[in-house]
Amino acid sequence: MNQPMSRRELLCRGGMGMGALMLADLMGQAFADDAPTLNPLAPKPGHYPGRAKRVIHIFANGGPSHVDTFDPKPALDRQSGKALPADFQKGGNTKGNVAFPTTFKFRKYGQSGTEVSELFPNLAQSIDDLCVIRGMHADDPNHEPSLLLMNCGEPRQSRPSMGSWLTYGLGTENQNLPGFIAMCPGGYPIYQSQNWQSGFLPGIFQGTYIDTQFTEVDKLVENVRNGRVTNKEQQEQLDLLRRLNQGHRESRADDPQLEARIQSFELAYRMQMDATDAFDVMREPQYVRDMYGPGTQGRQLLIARRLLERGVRFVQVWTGREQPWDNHQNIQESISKLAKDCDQPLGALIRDLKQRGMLEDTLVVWGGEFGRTPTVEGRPGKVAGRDHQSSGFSMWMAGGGVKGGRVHGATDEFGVHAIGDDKVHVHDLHATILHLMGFNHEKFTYRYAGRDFRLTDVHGRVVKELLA
Amino acid sequence: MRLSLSLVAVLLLGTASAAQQQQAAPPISADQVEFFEQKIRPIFVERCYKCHSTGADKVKGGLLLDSRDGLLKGGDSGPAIVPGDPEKSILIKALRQTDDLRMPVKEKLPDEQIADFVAWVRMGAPDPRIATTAPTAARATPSIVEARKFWAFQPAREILPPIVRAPWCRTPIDNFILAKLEEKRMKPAPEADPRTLLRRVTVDLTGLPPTAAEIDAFLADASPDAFEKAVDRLLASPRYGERWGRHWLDLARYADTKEWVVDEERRLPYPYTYRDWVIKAFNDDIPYDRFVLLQLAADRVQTGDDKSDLAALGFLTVGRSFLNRQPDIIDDRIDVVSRGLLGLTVTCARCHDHKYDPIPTKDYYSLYGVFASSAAPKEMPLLAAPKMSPDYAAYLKELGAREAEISKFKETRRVEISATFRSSAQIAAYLLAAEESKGKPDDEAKAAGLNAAILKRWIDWLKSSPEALAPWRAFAARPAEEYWVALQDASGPVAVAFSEPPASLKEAAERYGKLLQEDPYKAVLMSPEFPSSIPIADIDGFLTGDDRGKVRQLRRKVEELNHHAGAPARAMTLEESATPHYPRVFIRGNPGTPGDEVPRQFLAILSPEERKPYKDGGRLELARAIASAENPLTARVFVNRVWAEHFGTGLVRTTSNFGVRGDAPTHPELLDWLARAFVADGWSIKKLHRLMVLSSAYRQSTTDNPEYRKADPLNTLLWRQNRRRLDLEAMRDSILAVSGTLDPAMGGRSVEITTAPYSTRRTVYGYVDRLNLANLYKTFDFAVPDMHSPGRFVTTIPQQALFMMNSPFVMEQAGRVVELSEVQREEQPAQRIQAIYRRVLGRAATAKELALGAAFVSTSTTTPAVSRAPIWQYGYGTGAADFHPLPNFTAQGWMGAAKALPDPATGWCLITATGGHAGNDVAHGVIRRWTSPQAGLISISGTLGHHSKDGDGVHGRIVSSRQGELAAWQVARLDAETKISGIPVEAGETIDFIVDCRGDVNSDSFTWAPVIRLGEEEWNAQANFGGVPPKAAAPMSAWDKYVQVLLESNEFIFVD
Repeated sequence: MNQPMSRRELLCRGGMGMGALMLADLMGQAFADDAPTLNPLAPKPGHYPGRAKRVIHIFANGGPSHVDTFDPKPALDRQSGKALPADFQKGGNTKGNVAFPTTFKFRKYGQSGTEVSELFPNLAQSIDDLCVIRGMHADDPNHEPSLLLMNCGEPRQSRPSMGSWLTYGLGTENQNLPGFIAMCPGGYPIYQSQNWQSGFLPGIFQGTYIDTQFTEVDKLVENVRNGRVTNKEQQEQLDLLRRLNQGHRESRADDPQLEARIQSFELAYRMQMDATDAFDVMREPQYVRDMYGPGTQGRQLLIARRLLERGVRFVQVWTGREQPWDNHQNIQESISKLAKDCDQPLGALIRDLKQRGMLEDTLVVWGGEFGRTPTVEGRPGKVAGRDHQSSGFSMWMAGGGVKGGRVHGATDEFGVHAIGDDKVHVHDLHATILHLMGFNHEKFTYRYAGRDFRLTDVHGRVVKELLA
Repeated sequence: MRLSLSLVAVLLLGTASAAQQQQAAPPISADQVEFFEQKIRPIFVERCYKCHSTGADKVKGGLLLDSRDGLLKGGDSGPAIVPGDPEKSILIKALRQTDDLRMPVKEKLPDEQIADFVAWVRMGAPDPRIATTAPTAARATPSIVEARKFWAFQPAREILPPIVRAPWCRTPIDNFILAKLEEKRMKPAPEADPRTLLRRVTVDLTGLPPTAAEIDAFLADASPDAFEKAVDRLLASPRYGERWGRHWLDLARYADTKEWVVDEERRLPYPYTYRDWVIKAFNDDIPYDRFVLLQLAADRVQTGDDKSDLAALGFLTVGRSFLNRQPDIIDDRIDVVSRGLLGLTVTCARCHDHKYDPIPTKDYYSLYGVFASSAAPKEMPLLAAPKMSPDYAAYLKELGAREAEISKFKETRRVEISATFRSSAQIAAYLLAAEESKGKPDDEAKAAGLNAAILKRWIDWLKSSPEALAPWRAFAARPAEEYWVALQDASGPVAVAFSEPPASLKEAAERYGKLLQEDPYKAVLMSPEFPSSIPIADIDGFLTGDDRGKVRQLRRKVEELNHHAGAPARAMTLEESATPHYPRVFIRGNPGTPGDEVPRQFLAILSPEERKPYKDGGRLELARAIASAENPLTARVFVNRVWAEHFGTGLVRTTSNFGVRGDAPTHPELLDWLARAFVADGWSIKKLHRLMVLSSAYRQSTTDNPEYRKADPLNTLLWRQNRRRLDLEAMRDSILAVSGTLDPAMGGRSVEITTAPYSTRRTVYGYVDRLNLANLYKTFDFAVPDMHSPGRFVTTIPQQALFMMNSPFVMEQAGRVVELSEVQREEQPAQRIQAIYRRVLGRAATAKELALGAAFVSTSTTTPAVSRAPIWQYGYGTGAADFHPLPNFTAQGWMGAAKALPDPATGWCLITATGGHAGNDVAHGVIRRWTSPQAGLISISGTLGHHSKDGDGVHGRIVSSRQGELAAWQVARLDAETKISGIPVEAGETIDFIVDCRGDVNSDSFTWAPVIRLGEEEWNAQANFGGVPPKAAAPMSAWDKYVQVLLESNEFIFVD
């Protein structure tokens, strides 16, 4: 029941595709394939070189309305106050409710002329770097299954999240920081840590949750500071430890586990410095902080950028606890406030990544677990809001091998269903992200309980049209 | 010509039959299997099987598509496919729907799916499905017979240990191990030294290190059975059950919470009673077959008054709650039973037949039916009669109060809702509907927009002809002549109300409705018998959504009391439902597409030829079939798990997968022998441990042999013992044990162990939140409790080292070691080091280690407590003794106000990373204070700047708490370098960087972010800027730090 995961096992469990590709990695190290996997987070290659090296997934949890943001629907104006035609009332929350046109004006931006609503004026300045996917669709207009689907590719069972898959497959570039970090200010989104779970993968691949309402590094990363000994004292301790461990190892020279543990203390010592540094946005020049703006959203996106810059593989940034974008009522007011908080930092992130030359190999993904109805919320007591809608919604991606200035796919004239050949299911999105990160999603597997599991299960299609 | 023609025919026929023979058993590649499984089979199952499979109610067109034979044989129109030639395949024609034969009937397949079928036929229609063309029962048999030949489904063989003449062999295990080694011309490693051996077996059996006294006693015991005695002592220790119980809890996916829930209590009510039952079962050495039986069906085997075994059912009930989705809860239970007890991955068959093992989907749903036939009882049973105590009394009182809240709320709502049915209009409507009812109250109520339950009450009430109905009976739609007769008899309000004949029954009802609002009928209206008066028992059906929300909220308050300190222990048990569930196969695992009904019964592969379906729910029979010596897997799987703990890996490395895709056993004969010996020993787990740990194989050292390592790098032949690392529990418990603080208390509710004040309970009693598993657990490879865990991963990551270096828990425990009297009484460093070594590592320090330790404690920097003050502080005043901290750290920086400046008390005082703003007068200078952590010489650099066009600039000073003002500058619209050096400081001395407004409160923004150097260290005001620094904690003494290093050492964490 207690067995080290050897490299060989990791390979076997990694499935054939991984095994074959990782063989090259092993050839250089005679017999090392049977050494226990000392640091499963060490960087390793995917199936092929990916266009993106790291991902930032900005999760607008609650389900942002697409018809108020990235998917203009003039037909709603004509239909205003009337029920949608019968075909548009099928299988969702539009049934029996009247069309509710957006109150926000759309305008064309950039050379691409993509229309974006006035909620995102700052982000829209970067529209030529964005690929807006208007034909997203998922399976279930309820938060829980849709959150799990978007994060883990499966709505009910325990499965590893996308960030876990990627840190498992690629390791992480900076051993002094966690490889997969999930940030959410003020508490958890609903479903809490299940959103960044490792499922059947080892627990170390689970996302490290950070509550970004705090600014103190020791509240952000556990045990990263020591209140009782100084750095100098700790160096003295580690020096003694090294000597004692060397003595212990003399007669046990064959065991790489021992050396790995010795190394881990050196790494940990450096991690204290690096983590403190990474999370401290005050070390950014004033003009950069100004660019991101003063609020929590700005701070957490700036932290995210600092983490990405330092080699963290996957950063997920949630808007806030529970479900801020779940605008069941007074959507005009609530979404205005949210967009106001998020627009400036989002635009700043894209520009900042671009200025640093990071955008080309950083994949930025923005969206919620689904969208919202183009009709007014029908439940009693709810005024001027929109209900959940999984049949059609918008997301956008930027950087990391994604074609900028593109609008991909569409919903029908009222924004109810994703239509046409260009519609993108969440599984397709996952397949595409894995592809951009260098994996064939059908061969990126992990053997568990006798079965080879995939992020995309038996589904998914790489959406080639999104690729630059 | 004729001859040649027939020759051609013969040749053609010959070719055809040869081709067909090839088709009979074409080799299928893994890719082809995958293609079939992903693209073809699902379509067959979903779109074709309903009419074209052996399971179909009525096979259409004589065509079966559920086997390759069926496809080749075809139906009424001939063979369905010609492998390799899609254009000639009827199946493809039918799918394309170009001719008369169009399939599927209802809807054409999408083009890409048809293309898949074309591609599949073109590649020769590779088809891994087991042929099943005969009628169902007989049909399945050949494949089962074939599948039974797989080693794991064969009964464990009766094998005599190989004869190996060697004194090395202490137990039959050794004969098996040595025979294999000798085959490869290898020799076992020498026996580990006694100290190593005792530590190994103590950690293995109890999860704790041996104490120094235990080591001494063992080393002093020269008797030949010294080791046996030690093993028996350990097996008799209650610590044994805590260690081995925890191993079992891994595979039982034990946790204290349900997972994500919407608006119910997230904590499981009594999971700890299961945990405690498991620990006790190991300590009591309950025979394993009974141990299993109770965990599956304790409710059915219970006899007598002792209800404590009911807690065993936690095995099934401590899993995730899956938002109460029944199919997923049952799937989880099937998984924990099948992988946990049988090493079979049965849940693979949820959506389709198992791809590798002989587990058809039907078998999955047979088990599904068993678990769907049980449910949690309304009230969880008490494990024992509660004893009166202050806690219990408090619990009862609170329980009564909270339940009364619910009753009170419901009664209030009952009164309110009943009142809405008493208006004259309501009474008229119901009376009329009841009078006219044709015996279908549900439909009639719906049509009239009435409440069906109330209407039924009205109908019953009319039937009972109460006295209050007399006026109605008298006047309702009577012929005129009778009416007047009735009126003559009437008096009072009735006479008034009905003085004129009603035009219709409706009008009569309306009058009657009004009549009842007044005396003397009002009393009737308000009486409990009156139909509008909802009985309290029925109120739930009348509650609104909001009401129900409120009841849930109140109910949750009651449920929370399950966690009250005085709540008596209960079992999270199951009971059989009154009527068993008759399961149907869910096609593709989807409950929305139920298929054939299947009987509740055990897996075919583990059953006799003739399976007997279960009559009742079947859980007891299932339990018996698993907890059986006849079951080829149960004993094998368990002995392999125990082996894996004692030897580092299992004989079958995939401990929870004994199927075709699992690993084959490295020592199959030994595995069989162990399984039989285990059963023969009465399924005694303690005897099994004894058998293993007393073997010479177990007692080997971990010494390396480079040649052997090259030949057998995974040590599958066991040419030595495997070195192991303490897992989370053993690590944390070992630290507590050596510090002398380990709390031996057993059982009870789980305790939080990851936050201060730190619990000293054993880790097995730590709270496991499966939703947000504590970082400590994740960091140290704890078994993720979302599902059955076959074994722990062992990873090495820096976060583990951070815990050892920085967690207050480890530092605190290091201090406890130093406080021990046996350490304190040694005043000489060398003696003290020896006492610490004995305590922490269970041995004497070597001369070299003594020297290292002595050097460390004598030269280690000890930083005085005073310098523990935060390095940087932010305040206002005039400096030195006049320093007042600024209270708020905001996005702007440190300031007086929580949100916006100016602050009434401190005005515009603000300190940012790079500068700030001075206060409103000279007494309100802003102060950036640095406290020296040690003595030495400092140098300061930086630039004080004032850049506003307005105002008179600012005044900056550097002031020492010990030496007074060190330097000062005045700046207005310019920068001044603030460079001084060679300043001696003491530890704890403060250096203040003060900026005031020079008197004119106008435009006093400044920049100043000094950098201080002391020896090799540097403090940068800008880089170090931040919120509240960690609270100053007591410094660690040199000895504390020394002990911490020993706790961090590889020797402490690894077990040879």
